[in-house]
Amino acid sequence: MAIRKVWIHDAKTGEGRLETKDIVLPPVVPEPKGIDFDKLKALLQAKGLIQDTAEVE
Amino acid sequence: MFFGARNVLGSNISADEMAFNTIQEVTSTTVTGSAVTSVQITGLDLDTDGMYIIFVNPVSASTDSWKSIHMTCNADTTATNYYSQHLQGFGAAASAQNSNSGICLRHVAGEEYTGFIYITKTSGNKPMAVINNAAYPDSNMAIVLRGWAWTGTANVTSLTWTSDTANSIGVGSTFKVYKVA
Repeated sequence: MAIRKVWIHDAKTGEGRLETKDIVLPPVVPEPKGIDFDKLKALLQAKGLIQDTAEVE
Repeated sequence: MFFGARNVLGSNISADEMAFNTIQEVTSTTVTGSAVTSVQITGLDLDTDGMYIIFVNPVSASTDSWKSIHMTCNADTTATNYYSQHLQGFGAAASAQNSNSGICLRHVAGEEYTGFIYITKTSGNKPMAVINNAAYPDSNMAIVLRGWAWTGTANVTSLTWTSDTANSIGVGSTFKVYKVA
């Protein structure tokens, strides 16, 4: 825990204020690894596993 | 072609039946003075109000390439009491990820955001949210869809958004809470 700045807003009064509170930071979750479909398509085409849709048509 | 109200099964529609629900603002807040680690809205009552739609425009004061803002309920800050599912489109790339934590929003240095959180309770009385937000600058536009759930069943009386990096929710961040009444 560490003392950190918090913006607290009360919905009943409509008032917001800056405070300091003990806060535990949430865990850092790494950025998800994605699939780049353009690169995947190029890779599969290079290996002859798929044809370009335009060529098929 | 005619568009308008008409009788249903031949009966007249009473004034009460003509009444319709409206979206009402519950509260609205903007961070001022200093960047913060958390934003908390208290005085909510999800059991009574049934659902909230929260329009979020966070300002990133993060200097990191990838960070997250987590959403928690009431006083429960135990990360493992939450689940979230991420689905993101970014250029020609797509990614998906499940996390045993309450990740709510993408939070990357130099990006601008808008989004909304729809939160209600499931048939099992658990708070669950659908979150959609867009991020960009320019050609690096991203769209993120998330599911979020809390394992608790208590009434949600406050919601807190906490960054995984201190003081990275910037001045000017806005949170607007609406309900249907």
